[in-house]
Amino acid sequence: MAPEAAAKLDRPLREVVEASPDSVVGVLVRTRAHPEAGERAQLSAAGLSIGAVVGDVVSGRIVARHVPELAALDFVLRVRLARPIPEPRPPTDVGPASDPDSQCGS
Amino acid sequence: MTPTRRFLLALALAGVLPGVAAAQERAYVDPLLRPLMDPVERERLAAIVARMPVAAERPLDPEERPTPAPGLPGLIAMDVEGPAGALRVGLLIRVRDRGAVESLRAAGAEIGAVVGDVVTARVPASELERLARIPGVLRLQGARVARFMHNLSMDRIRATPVRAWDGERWRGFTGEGVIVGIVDTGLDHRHGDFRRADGGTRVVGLWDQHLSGPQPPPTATDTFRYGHFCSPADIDASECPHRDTNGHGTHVGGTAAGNGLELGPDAVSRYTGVAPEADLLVVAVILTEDRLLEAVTWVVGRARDLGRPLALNLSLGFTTGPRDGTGDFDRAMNELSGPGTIIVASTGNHGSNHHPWELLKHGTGQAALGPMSFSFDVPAYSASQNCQQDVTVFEVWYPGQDRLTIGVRRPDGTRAAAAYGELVVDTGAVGRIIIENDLDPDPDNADIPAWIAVDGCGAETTLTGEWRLEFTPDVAESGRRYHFWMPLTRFGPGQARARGGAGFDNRYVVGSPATADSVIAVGAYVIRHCWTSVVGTVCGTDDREAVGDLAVFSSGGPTRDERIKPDIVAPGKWVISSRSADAEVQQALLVEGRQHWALPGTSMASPHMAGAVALMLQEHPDLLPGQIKAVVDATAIQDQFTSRTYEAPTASPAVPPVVPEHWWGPGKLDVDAALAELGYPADPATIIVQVQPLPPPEAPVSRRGAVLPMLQLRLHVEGDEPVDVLSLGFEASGPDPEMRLLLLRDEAGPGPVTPGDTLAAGQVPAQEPRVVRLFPEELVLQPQDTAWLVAALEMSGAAPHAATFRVTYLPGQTRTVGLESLVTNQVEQPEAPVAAAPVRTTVLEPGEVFALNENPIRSNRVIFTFVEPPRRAAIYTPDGRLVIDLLERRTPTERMIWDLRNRQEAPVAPGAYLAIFEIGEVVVRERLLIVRPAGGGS
Repeated sequence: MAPEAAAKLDRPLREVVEASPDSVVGVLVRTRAHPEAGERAQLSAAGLSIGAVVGDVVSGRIVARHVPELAALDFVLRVRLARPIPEPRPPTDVGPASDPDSQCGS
Repeated sequence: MTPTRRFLLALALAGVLPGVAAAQERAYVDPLLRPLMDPVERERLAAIVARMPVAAERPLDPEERPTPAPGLPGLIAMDVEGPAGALRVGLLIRVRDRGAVESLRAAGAEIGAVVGDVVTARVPASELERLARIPGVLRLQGARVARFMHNLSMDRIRATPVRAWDGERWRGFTGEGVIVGIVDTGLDHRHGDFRRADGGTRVVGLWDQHLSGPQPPPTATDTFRYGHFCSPADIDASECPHRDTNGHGTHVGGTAAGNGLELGPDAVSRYTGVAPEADLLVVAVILTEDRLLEAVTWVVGRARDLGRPLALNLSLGFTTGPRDGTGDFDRAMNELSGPGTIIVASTGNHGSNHHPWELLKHGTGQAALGPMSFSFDVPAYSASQNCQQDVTVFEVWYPGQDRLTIGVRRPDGTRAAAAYGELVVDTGAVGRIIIENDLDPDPDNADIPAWIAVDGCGAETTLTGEWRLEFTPDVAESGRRYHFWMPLTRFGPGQARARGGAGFDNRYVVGSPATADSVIAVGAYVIRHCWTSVVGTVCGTDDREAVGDLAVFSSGGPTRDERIKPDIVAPGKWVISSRSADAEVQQALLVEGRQHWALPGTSMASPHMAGAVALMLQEHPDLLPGQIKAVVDATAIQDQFTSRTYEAPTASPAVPPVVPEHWWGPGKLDVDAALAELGYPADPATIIVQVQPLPPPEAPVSRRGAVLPMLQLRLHVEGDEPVDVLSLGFEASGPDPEMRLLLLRDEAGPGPVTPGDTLAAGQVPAQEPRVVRLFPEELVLQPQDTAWLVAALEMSGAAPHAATFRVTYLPGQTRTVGLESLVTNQVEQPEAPVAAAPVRTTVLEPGEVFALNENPIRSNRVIFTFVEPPRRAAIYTPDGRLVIDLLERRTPTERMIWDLRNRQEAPVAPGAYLAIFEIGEVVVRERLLIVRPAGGGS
């Protein structure tokens, strides 16, 4: 990967590209400005399956080995591995009320 | 009011106004009482109340099975009296003085307590309207029924006073017309809380990103080609395969927008969400950043395509990132937010300082203070088979102008360190240390991210013991703080967690997307610890904060760039809401009916705010995120808890001053006050129209330009909003083909008519009676304002002598709009048309024998009127040449028309002419000036 392109990737994505080039990864791409149709076509041609385009942020999925091509586009400023979201359901430790003053919803 | 108006002939009119109620001050009436002013509604409610047990009248045992609250009677104290079952209602009445109390008593109110200017009373519901008009009565408020409720949170956020289920339908602020977006684990779309009373779904679209099938409708800007989309028709036909197997999203959705109908129409108020009439757009989201962004983008785009305001809830978020609002996701949230598109997010469950346990996850220091160290403890555990499974990770951000050497010291005293630009991997007997201090400054904020991981790889023992993080400044130029967080910690199969020690705290732990500028970040406070579940009374077993205090898990702010977060705090421990039938749920969490369950978390707090946003957008659909933040900021509840600081006993000396806002923001959400701050839709003002005929003038002349006042109108606004009078209707007739009906401002008000500005005018085209609607260009009456108007006919001069004119006010044609409530045609006025006295005009003044309609003559004819038919009528040139003898071919009459043609039927030239008439014994010589050639139009 060219150093200029590599510099656009965050470290987790760089590691995935090196370790698992055939895996499909979710990424967030920062572009110089809101990408026009031609630039979107270039993103797609580089292998990015475009999801959302919100201002200068583009989400999408891409086979890891194609990430360098994506990063090589001059209007692409950064490519970041999409972060995972923790499972939203919280822990719920409950037990029988032993306290006579238990605050039952008052 | 008795009219005091005197007219041209000072005709006394008092008492002759047809059907007009007396206009006087009217008290503000609680919106929940207004249905009681309708006799049909009273009868219906009386029947409900008659069937009610008296439970609402006595204190309830908290353990007692709650009596279903049948709508409005369950909210407002009511009973029925006498064999006829007359409905009575409990009131809190605000009065101006004691005199009003006596008036109330005289009007049949059963007075209870009088405390200051507030009176409690029981009154016949049929008398409400009359009570509201008693002088000195300022406000009628329905006495709320105090009841034990499971869904305490609606009371705590003061949503209960703003909307009510009356047994059949919702009233008040309900989120109607607004979309609540739920991007979460999905939604149990079969749950009754998400269906309307008619059984139809309230979900206007559901996209399950995990399934495959029909794809979601493209929005104006984006197309998403994965997942499975369920339309409302799919859901109603039971053809939507989505299931919320987690249950989190259904709980969240129920809090924001559940309508409580799952338990039936008589139990609605027990588990109602904040916005029970909002529609829902739902995404069951894949839990990665890219899919979450696509989910939010789709919901925003879809709501915009539907033309609906959106309150989108995100009870999820990230545990890593710059936490200063500059990250990609936060930027995208700012981009997607806008007028009527509001995103609300939970701050996260990373703890508050008053509970210094293993949840302590953050530390901060300052390069200028020199080297600093922070300790954390790894508990005893059994090593995992995979050494990477025993791990703790720290994320570090420090100012780009500074340079730090980051060190980690093991429990055995060995140490690894990385100066800026270095990536260090150091394996020792007590685990491996990885320090990535070689990352470039983030281009968005110029700060430097770094990572630290300690894991069990290469270790000869477990990592148990006290570890230290050491920060040594090499360059200290910024004067700003550095921060580190512990986003991941787990050791052994039991996933034991490292505990932050000296220097750790729980500030700055609000995560994205709550850190975005435009996103409303919501923290959580405690409303209960225990509840009656299907297996008996149970309690949460974690720390017992006082009820009303901040929940122990509620993430503290501010953001790393020192912006205050959270933006508001709402109930989050424990909240009872809708249960997904497809989720595995502990019995102890289920409450009576098994369709609702208790959960804790800022996830549960956030939808309270999202629902509140939906209520705000209902009346103000273009609100901006900043406007909503300002409103909740200004109206938040402050109490003894919201002034607490929760300072960590072991916090770093470098931490900034502690302020309560870092945990509470402005305080606790108050929906009622927020809506009031925005401005309730006004109690619709009534415009009272009084119309009275004006006495005919003694000698009304019909010459061109003459104005005949026919009717006087008094318009008075009773209420607290301006009212725009859009149109008034009349019927007019009279033999003047070119006359106009005018609506004039009566400058004098009560007193002789003094016609002023013309507000509107309309042609009355034919002699037959015609409806003429007048549209005043600007007739806006301010609250309690009165306008005096005159409807008048303007003569064209074409009317014959002794013509009769009529004007009648048509009440059915009146159109008004309240400029705040937008309620139209709230008019109190005569039921029947009000006719002006017929006016018989003359063209001759007293003593005159002759008149003409205009001179100079600008039209294509001139009309002569005589007191009797003339014996001679001829037109001459100034030098005496005959132009035409009007009697040559016509029989003389009292009204004769000359078409400005000569004997040869040719138009006469403009100029001066002489008319000579012989009327009785009088000879009249009139000089005519024709300034416009005949045939030139009128």
